[in-house]
Amino acid sequence: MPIIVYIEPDGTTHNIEVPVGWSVMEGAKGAAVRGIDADCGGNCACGTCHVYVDAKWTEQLPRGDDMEAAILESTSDVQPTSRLSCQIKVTEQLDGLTVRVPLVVR
Amino acid sequence: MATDDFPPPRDMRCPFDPPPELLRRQREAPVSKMRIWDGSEAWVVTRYQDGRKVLGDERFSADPKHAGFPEKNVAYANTLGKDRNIRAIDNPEHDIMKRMMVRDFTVKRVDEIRPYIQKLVDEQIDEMLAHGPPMDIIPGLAVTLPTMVICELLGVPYAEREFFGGRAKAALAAPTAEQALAAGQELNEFIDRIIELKLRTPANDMISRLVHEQMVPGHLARSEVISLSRLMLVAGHDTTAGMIGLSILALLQHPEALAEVRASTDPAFIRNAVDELFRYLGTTHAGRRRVAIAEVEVGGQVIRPNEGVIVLNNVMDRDESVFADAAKLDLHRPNTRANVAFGFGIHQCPGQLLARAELQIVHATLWKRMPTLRLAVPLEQLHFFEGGSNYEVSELPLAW
Repeated sequence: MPIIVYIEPDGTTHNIEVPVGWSVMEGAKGAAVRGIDADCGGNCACGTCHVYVDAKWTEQLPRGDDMEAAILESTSDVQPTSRLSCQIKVTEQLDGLTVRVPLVVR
Repeated sequence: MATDDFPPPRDMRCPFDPPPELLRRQREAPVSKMRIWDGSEAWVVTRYQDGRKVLGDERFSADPKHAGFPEKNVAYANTLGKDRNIRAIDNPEHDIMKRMMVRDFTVKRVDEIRPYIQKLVDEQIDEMLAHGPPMDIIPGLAVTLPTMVICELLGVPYAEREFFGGRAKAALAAPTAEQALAAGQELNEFIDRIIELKLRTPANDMISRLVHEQMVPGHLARSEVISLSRLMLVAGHDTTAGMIGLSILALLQHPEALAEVRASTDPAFIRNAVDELFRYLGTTHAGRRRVAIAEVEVGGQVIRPNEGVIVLNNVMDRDESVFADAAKLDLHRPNTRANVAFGFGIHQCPGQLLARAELQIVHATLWKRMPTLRLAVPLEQLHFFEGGSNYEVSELPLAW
């Protein structure tokens, strides 16, 4: 099963086995990764699952669509590597994918 | 009733807990078969990790077209169960269709509507105070609030609420196919008339957007707009109404928790409290329905193609391996957001931001404006209904 690496703003790192077909967000939820709130449940409607994808992985992910881009625009601290983790589907090829959780004051 | 009939009875000494038989199965037989309303059998999944595995696995279909799909009741089988929309289709079609309507349920849209929700809650409380005790809050605050909100969001005339409210209940819970079909058809015709209205005079609402951005260009058929709108209308008020009533009752039965909510001015606490109420109450008790389309091992059992599966998200949210002291209502529970009250996977409820906002505003307002609110009758005299897809209290007479 692929392992996804989640790094919280303070450096706390979670290496979590996530089933193929789940989203990166779903892998975080239930494992209590702080900062990935997923208020909308993965419906690409809130932006609270925002992550920065480690640079070496960005080209390996399918591009996000206009809806994801629109939601990202409304989040804070958007970077070129920003993605909504609910829109990244885990595959075997993403074993080791590393994402960082932005520091957000809510 | 045999112990393997679903749903088994609750112990009404605590009306907020799932049936004891289901909690027993969670401990002793977490994936096991039960008999449903039409005499067929389905696998009932009760543990958190097993349930998430099923809901996140494409080998379990949400599509009733597959033989063996365990529909919720005779009403569903003849109404929503026949619709081809996001509730009952798989990917890739599901995600394409969901994208067409999700912008009306974004955090931005819900934030736009929050002041309207607050105004409605205040008006309902004003009416209660003007009426004087006792008063049943179910037809008032509990039903009126989500009904008006979903009408605003969808663009459905609120004046028609008695018409569609009654038909919605029948479409989900009527005891016979004929009654459910008739109600479902009337709802379809009602929404068809609204589509005509929106074609002529579009407004800032979901049905207008579906009509002009999806139907007119040919991305969606008229029948698909009707079924999607019908689903949002029905799902958008019935479930929230049930949750408002039951959560008010739950807090009245937990005075220490209620005192905290009443005193709190911390939005983060209210948010966590509402999320915990969703976990604790688990009102969508009929479970998430799936049918296997391949052989899959779950919780030590082999589930074969065309075998039905009922994933009990309310029982999953009482899993002690995830939620310590799960039977306790703990408004400070740190991991309550891990709950699956709104489901898991691609079919997770698109309206959950809205539902949470309504519950947050109700509980942030009601107890402060009416601090002496109490039950006007003994708990034992209340009636509960679980014939449809929600568990709810039928009436809630309150005094103050």
